[in-house]
Amino acid sequence: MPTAGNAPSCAPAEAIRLEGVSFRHGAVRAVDGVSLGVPPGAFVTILGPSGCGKSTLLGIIAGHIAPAAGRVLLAGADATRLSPEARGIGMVFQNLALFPHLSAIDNVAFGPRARGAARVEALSRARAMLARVGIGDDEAARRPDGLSGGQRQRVALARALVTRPAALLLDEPLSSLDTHLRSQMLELVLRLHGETGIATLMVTHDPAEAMAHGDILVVMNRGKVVESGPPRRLYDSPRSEFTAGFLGPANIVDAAVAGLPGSGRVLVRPEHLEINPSGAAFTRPMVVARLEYHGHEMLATLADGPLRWVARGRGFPPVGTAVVAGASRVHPLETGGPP
Amino acid sequence: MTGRGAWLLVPALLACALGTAGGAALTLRMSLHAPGTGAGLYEPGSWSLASWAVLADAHHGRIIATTVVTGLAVAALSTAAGYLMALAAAPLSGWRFALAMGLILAPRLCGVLAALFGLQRLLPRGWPGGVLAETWLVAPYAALVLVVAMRGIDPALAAAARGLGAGPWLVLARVVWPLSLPAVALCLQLGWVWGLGAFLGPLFLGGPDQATLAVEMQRELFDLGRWPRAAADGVVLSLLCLMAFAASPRGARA
Amino acid sequence: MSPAWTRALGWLLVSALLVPVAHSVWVSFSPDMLLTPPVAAWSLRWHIEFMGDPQWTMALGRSLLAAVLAAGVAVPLGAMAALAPARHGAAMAVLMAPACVPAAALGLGLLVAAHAAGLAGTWAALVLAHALMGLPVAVLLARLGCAAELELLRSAARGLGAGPWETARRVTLPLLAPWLWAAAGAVFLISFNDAVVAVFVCGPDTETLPVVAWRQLRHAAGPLVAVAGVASLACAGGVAGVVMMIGGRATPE
Repeated sequence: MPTAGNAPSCAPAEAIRLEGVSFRHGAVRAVDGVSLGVPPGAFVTILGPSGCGKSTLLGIIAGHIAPAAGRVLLAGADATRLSPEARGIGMVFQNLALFPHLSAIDNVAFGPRARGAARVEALSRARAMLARVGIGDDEAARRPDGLSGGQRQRVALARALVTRPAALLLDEPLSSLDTHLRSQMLELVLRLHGETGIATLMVTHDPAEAMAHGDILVVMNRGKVVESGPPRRLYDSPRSEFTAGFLGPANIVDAAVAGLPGSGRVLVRPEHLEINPSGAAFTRPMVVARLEYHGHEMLATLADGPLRWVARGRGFPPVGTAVVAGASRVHPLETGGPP
Repeated sequence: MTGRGAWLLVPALLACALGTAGGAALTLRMSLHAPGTGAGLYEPGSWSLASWAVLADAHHGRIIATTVVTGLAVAALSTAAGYLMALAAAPLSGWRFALAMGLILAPRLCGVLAALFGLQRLLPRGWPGGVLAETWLVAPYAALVLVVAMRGIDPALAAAARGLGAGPWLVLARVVWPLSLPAVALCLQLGWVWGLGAFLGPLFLGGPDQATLAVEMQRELFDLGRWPRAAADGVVLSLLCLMAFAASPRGARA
Repeated sequence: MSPAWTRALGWLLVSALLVPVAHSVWVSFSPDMLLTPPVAAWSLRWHIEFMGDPQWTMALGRSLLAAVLAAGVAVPLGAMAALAPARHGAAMAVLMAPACVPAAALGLGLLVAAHAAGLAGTWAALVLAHALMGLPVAVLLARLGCAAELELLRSAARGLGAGPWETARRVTLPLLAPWLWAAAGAVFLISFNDAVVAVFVCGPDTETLPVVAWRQLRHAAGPLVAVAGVASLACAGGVAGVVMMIGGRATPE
């Protein structure tokens, strides 16, 4: 499984590679010494809280922002000084940035025409691309303000892909959509990725979205890369407390205080905390303090002296019941939480 | 709309309506007075078309023609100059932007007559000098309107265009220009109206044969003491301005 | 946003706009009557003569006073208009009318109106004329300050029990203050530098600086006109600076 670390020298050049990229916005380090790579054809997701520098990073890769330090390499070649129009990178902006004065099809045809294609050819390519994303001729003739949010998103996607870019950047493509549209859009993004094989870098602040798909997950905080790797590994065995806490509900405690094996901070995921277990790694008496019903599961808050534990399951004894809880999996953490 | 608080609008609205429409109505009435006898400026209470009859002669025909052509020239030149200045100033931010806008507006806001003094020494006399001087007076405001419009364009649009392969020229031609067209139209209209009313430029840099309606108005008022004739010139000027607005409906400033 | 050469041309034009004023300022330091631009010999003689000539200094004083009074009239009217809930296009069109009419036509109309009202050549006529000229800008700037947040805060204050005057005093005015100071500065500058309407509306007792300069320029382009320009620049620059400072300090954090 390819990682986002250093690539071996004889492997094919990564589609995108950042080396020590930094950018300051006034006194704030928006991006602080970030190094990461996107292998050719891979789907990489960057996950992090708002303001952690994810959008700035995309701006640097696309060439709209010049980094204060570091290099940007595209297909192995140094592109740090290259102008945006020469980089051949497709991008879907957070606010979509569809040209309001052009119809959907003219929006999509903009790229090919800018690169010298004849109007007729550009329009036919645009029509074909719009059909691939599910936009018919009727909608294609409308201006962006005459389309729904989901339709606008598809047009933006088509516009970025029609130029056959070497890589695709997506800036929070799902955050402005209603929940029921999000899975449709994500499915479309992944289908297109599968069909075109274009290296894709998606930025999001939603952990569920980030983990559901993609080859590599990169967790960022405050301008720095905290950790990266396959989503599954980062969830089950994160190295950092920040990653553990950000990817989902987590019980992070001092091993000694909680009476767990090992030393330092450890992670117990709520689904690994069982009530009245048989043969668990440790058991402690607790009291059920609170119950939250989530439809398909329940979240229980268990009181253990001054500590509070979160557990997940299908059913729990009522509030106030004394139980014995045990952890079936305890994972040691290496580095600290959010500064 | 709730009535509560609507009264707040009344004083300003009244002032503007009275000042412009009221002034125009009074000017029209003044133009219909008989010329004053002796040292009088006009015959109070009289009614006469004498001043209007004079307007039909060749002298006034030339003045009206000069006025119209000046208006067109000033509109075109000031909009073009304003557009280029706006392109330079609009992308800036922070103190740089404030400085650029200060430099653009300062000459207009500080000592117009000193500038005319300078223009008189630097530019040749004649109609072109008058037009250039008037353009000098109007261009900063055109630049202001256009800067506001350009900064209203979402910066992501230019970035998106560049990412799609458009160089700076294409970004200007295909994105910035189309989206700034309403502001350009407004500048042309305002430039036309202010150009029609060109006064200081033609007065100080134009030759005696190149008077505009405003120059003639002032001459009739203060040099010759013929108020009805000056008022008639004023009415013609206002009518020309109204034509400018009727020809292309003004986009809502609201 | 645009090719570098368009921006270079733009900057060239900006500089070209500044040249006549710069030339005027430069020449005001000329040592001789012929107004040869001073290169080796600079002289303050014309500036000193200006400050000693009551015709000019009184005109400068009148310009300053008229400008302050015009701002005092236009800004409250503009603020009230901006706070009114109605946002009809027709109302805005009327409010913008004084700026869309050529100054000469406006001046003539106001002169005739002042004459009909028996106010020809008076201070009232001058101040009201300048206030009218500045009103569109005052309305525009005050409107910029009446953003949606202001409406929300006003509603919140009323909901907490404050009456309309108390809301105005404690919520609306403090938040609007920076914009109103900007409007005052703008109206001041418009009035101070107006050279067209003033020519029509001023009588011998109310001649402002531009009017005196105008007469001088017509008959004998003397050096004092250039000095008047320097004085204008200094006053306008000073006022702009003061207004920005006050407005800046009034901006709530």
